[in-house]
Amino acid sequence: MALSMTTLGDRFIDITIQDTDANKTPINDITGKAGALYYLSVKNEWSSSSVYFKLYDSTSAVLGTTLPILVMKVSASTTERAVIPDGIAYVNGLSYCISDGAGTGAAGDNGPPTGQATVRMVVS
Amino acid sequence: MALGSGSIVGSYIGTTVAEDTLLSGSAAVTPQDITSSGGSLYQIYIDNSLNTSQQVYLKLYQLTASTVTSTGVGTAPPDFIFPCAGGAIRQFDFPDGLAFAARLSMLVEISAGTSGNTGPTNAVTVRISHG
Repeated sequence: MALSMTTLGDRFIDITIQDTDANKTPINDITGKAGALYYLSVKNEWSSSSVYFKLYDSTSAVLGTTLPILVMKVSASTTERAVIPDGIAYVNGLSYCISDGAGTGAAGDNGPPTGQATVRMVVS
Repeated sequence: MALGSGSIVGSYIGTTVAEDTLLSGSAAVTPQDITSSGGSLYQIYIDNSLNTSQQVYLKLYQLTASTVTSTGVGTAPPDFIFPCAGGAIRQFDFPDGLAFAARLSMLVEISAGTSGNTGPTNAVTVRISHG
C-alpha cells in the first residue's frame, strides 16, 4: 500500500486519494467519515489479468463477505475512469479493494502484483 | 420491462442508447441483453426517484441474459455494479469509455454485491449509452 490523501481547500471541501499499490486486502474507512465519491480512476498494469475494483460502504470490509456497492471491471493493462457528477453517497465509511474476482468476489481471489494497480478517487 | 434502443452520433458518447423505463419487481431482475458484441460504456443514467427508501443496483454482466438466468440471478457475479440511492437520480460518465468484452446484459436489484434476486418496488428507469 502506498496510500496518500490530500484535503483540498474549503472552497472545494474535497479529498483526493491515491493508492499506487492497491490489492485484494481492503483499505478500510479511509476518510473516517460519511461522504460521497465523485471521481474514480483505476489503472491496472497487471498484464495477465483483468481486475475488479470493489467499493464498500463499510468501516471493516472483508473481501468475499462484505457486499460491494460498486464494482468496476478493468481489463489487463488498461486505465478506466468514471465521473459521478452528483456523487455516490456512503454513510458508514469508504473502503475498497481490487481482486481478480467479479461481483462480491471471494477470499481466495488473487490480487494484482505489488505496485501494479493504482486507484485515484475524489471524495467529499 | 420495456427495453428500447436508438442510434446516436458521436464516438465519445456512444453510438447506441438502451433504455428501460419499467424496471420493477420480477421484471427488474429478469436479465436483458444490451448488446451481443464487445464495446465501451459511455454513460449510465439511473432514475430511482420512485423508490424513496430503496437503494437500487444496476448490475451488468459480460454474459448473455440466458446465461445469467441459467447460472442464477444472485449467483452469477456481475462485472459491473452501479448504485443509486433511494429517491435519487444518478449519472455515471466514462469519458474514455469503459470497456466490456463480447456482450453485455443487465438487471436492477436491491442488494449490493453478487447476491440477491429482488427487484425494486416501483419502476426504475435506466439509460445506457454504449458503442
